[in-house]
Amino acid sequence: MDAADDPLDAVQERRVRAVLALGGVPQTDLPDGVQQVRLRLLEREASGAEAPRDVSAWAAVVASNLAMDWHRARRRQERIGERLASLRPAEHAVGDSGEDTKVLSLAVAQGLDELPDAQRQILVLRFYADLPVRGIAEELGIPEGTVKSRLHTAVRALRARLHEDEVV
Amino acid sequence: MPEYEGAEYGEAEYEGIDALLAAITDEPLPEGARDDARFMAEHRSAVADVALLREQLRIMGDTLIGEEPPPGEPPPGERAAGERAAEKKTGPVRVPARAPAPLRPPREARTRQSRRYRRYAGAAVGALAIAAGTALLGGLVWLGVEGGGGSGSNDASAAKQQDGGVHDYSPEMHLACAKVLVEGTVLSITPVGEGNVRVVLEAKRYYRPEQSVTDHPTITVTLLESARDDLKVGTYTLVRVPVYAQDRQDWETGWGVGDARKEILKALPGARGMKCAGPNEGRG
Repeated sequence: MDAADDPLDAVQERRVRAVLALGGVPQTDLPDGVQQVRLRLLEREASGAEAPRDVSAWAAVVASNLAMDWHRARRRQERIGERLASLRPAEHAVGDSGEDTKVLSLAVAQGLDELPDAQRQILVLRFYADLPVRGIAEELGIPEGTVKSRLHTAVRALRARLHEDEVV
Repeated sequence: MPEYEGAEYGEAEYEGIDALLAAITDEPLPEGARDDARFMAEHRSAVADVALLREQLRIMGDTLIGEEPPPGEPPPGERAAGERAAEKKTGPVRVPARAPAPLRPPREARTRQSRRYRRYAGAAVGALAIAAGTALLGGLVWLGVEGGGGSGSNDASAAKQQDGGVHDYSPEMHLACAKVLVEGTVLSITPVGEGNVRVVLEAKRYYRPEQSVTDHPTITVTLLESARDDLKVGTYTLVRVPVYAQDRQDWETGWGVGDARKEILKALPGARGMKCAGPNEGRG
């Protein structure tokens, strides 16, 4: 489709890809996943439903649900901890120039892989896609208390991982 | 009605508000909470962790979608600059907290780079460093000579060649910051636990400390376990142990010894009487 028809702009597409990847969708399936998100958005428009107030947030939620479905459909869920660990240095061309050296913790990636799907999904929506708690609850159709509960459990599980690599 | 477990032992609550949850939801704190020192301390810690988690997710996400094969050597232009830098010495290694042990390029790929010193670092398992925009591997764990090494080593020299060692590198400072700099033959290597090995050398020539071979025919140093990959009994080697434990150890064998020697001899006069300026050779 050409740019004018694309319901996702470049930034949104990138975010969708990242949410999919963080949800464990394998590298090779990412383009397919992005396409599915696009289609959902187009279907929504075509059905006459109101456009989402926040397309980015909505797309992130759709992507996170897709990632969970991917796993449940028994397609291979990529353990991102393994993927990141296998990267060669030359492949780490990340981000904009001028940034300080950033450091990635494989321990956190491993922690993410170990979270139950529901917690992982909500964690990514809250802390990668920056959705507010209420927004997550609304989009997923679950109580705010459940969202908070899952977040609390997930962050507690990851906190130890956050500091695992520190030199004492 | 909160459905979470609420405060467990050790988690601070103020009027039923859990400090961690407040940081997670980013909600304003109740009035009196700010007077509760313990709660505020917990809250600050939680806020910091949440920020760290956000950053980690961002980096992960960027990395997972931004990967581009092919792997392998840096482009030729950068390599040339790197080689010049490497001729003097590679730049400092930073970020004591992370180490890319799993990312070490295969040994075969490393040997043909014309570095003067090979860099071997103790690495804590489980971390990578990504230098944004420069495609470098920057972060390594530097563990002290006494402090125990990691399970593997990472030679990031491929990346560090590109690093800005050129700008403020001083061979003289590199010498001054060497607690031990000696050429000799390996007499023994013994594991001493915690990822270290004790290496006894029959000294051929001391650069640091400045002492004579006659008075000190042997010297014992504790190196990272990875030294066993290169140093066997009978190997002729040049070994450098840094003044500051967080800086890098080096050992060179084979043809590299001669090259390193040339540079050391050049820098010796200027390094006379020089004091090591601090960790990372004064760059802190």
